[in-house]
Amino acid sequence: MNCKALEIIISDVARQRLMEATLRDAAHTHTQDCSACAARLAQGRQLSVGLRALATFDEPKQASAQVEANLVQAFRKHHEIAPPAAALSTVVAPLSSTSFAATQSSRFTRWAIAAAAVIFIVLALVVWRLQHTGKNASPNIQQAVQPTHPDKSDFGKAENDKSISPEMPLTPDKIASPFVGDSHNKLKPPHRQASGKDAARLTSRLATTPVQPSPSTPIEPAEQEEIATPFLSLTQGYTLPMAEGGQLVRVELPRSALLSFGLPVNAARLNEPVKADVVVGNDGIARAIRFVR
Amino acid sequence: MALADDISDSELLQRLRAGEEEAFLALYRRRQSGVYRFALQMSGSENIADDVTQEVFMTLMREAHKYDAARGTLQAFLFGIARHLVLRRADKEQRFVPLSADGEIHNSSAAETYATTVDPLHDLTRRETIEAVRQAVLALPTRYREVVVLCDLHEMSYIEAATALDCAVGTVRSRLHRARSLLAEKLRGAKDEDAASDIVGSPRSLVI
Repeated sequence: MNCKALEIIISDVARQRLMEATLRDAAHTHTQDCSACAARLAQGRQLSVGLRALATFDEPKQASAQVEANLVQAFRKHHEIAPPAAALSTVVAPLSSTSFAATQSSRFTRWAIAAAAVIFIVLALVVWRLQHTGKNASPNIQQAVQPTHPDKSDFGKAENDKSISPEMPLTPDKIASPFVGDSHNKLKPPHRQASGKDAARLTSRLATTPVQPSPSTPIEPAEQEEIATPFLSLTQGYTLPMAEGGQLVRVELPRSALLSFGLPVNAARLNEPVKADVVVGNDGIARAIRFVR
Repeated sequence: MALADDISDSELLQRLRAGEEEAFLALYRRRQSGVYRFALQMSGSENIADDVTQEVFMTLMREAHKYDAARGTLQAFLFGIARHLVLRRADKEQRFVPLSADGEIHNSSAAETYATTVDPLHDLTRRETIEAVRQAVLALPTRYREVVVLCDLHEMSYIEAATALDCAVGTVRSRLHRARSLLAEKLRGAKDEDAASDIVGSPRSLVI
């Protein structure tokens, strides 16, 4: 036997395990001639002695009495009630804070808490978002949102209401002065699609309504001779009942705005602004526009 | 009244399945010590060893039908369960002795304990040395630690260990060989380190 062959069996020889007698004899013979292998074998034997000492030292050690008590209790419950196997682990009280049963149940608890926390956060965000949106909206919108959901009978009532005749002019206090900004972009329309009939009716009504300028503004002859396009709907069928009324706002827009309504534009005057009257509902939403020259 | 010791594990298991509490108790008392020691030697923690022992027998209670006598002894079956539980626990808690890539012992108490011995490989029966060996075993990578615990500390045959570890007998044999080499290196290395620290007069040597 050479050193390489001994290397394969040296652990078995050192551990004094059962093995072929011829192999063991050959190993011993080799160690008598090879001091290096003899040293390795001696080291292995010492290690075996140390490990055996550890095994002997641990021999009397056993599980605590509480384990047996828990298991007996669990066994009785298991065979009396015969609960499902999965539920059995809950029968045994945890030995320590690091018990497996406790760890597993606490894991489920943690997941449940995490899921609840996520749901709570989402709900809180939704509520905050709704409140935030409500604060940004003007009082006009808040008032208008509710009436945007009338049933058809409300429309009928509005039609029969003599106080809302198409001929009724908009009062001067309803006409806001100069420029109110892009209310169409800022304020979203209510989430209800009204009939196109309402939009058309509002548009036609406003088209026939004479524009009364603010009393504080001196009326110039040129303004009285204005030529205006028909009112063009901005809300694509979204509208409020006629009873809500509205405001007519004079604004100036870039001439390129005409293009977005499919109106012809004089390229030479593209840089000049163009006047427009915007119909703004009580909810602050722009309903229609007409361009004025 | 305790059941006689000559009743085989298989018979006790059969009675256990039938709901006989005494059979369960007899089986527990016969096998719990080995399972407990295995868990203790694998983890180094008495709490973990207690928990693992309880879980092993809970599993046996629930899944006694899974034991197949043709595949190995009941002890190997129980050790196999215990091994899984210990490894799971180790993954979760990371409470065991940390290991580096080269397998050095990082547990300071183990090193200090070991440093107090004059020549551990020639005086392995001393209590301090036993603890040093324990720490050296705990510092082994898991795959080597488990074969040392099963084959050297529990004197299991390669076949039984292979059943418990669910691997080939050759794997057990080669791992044990490597594990013992590592153990010898660790013990010798700690001794050399201690000697070197004595020479340079490190703080540790002053303390000692």
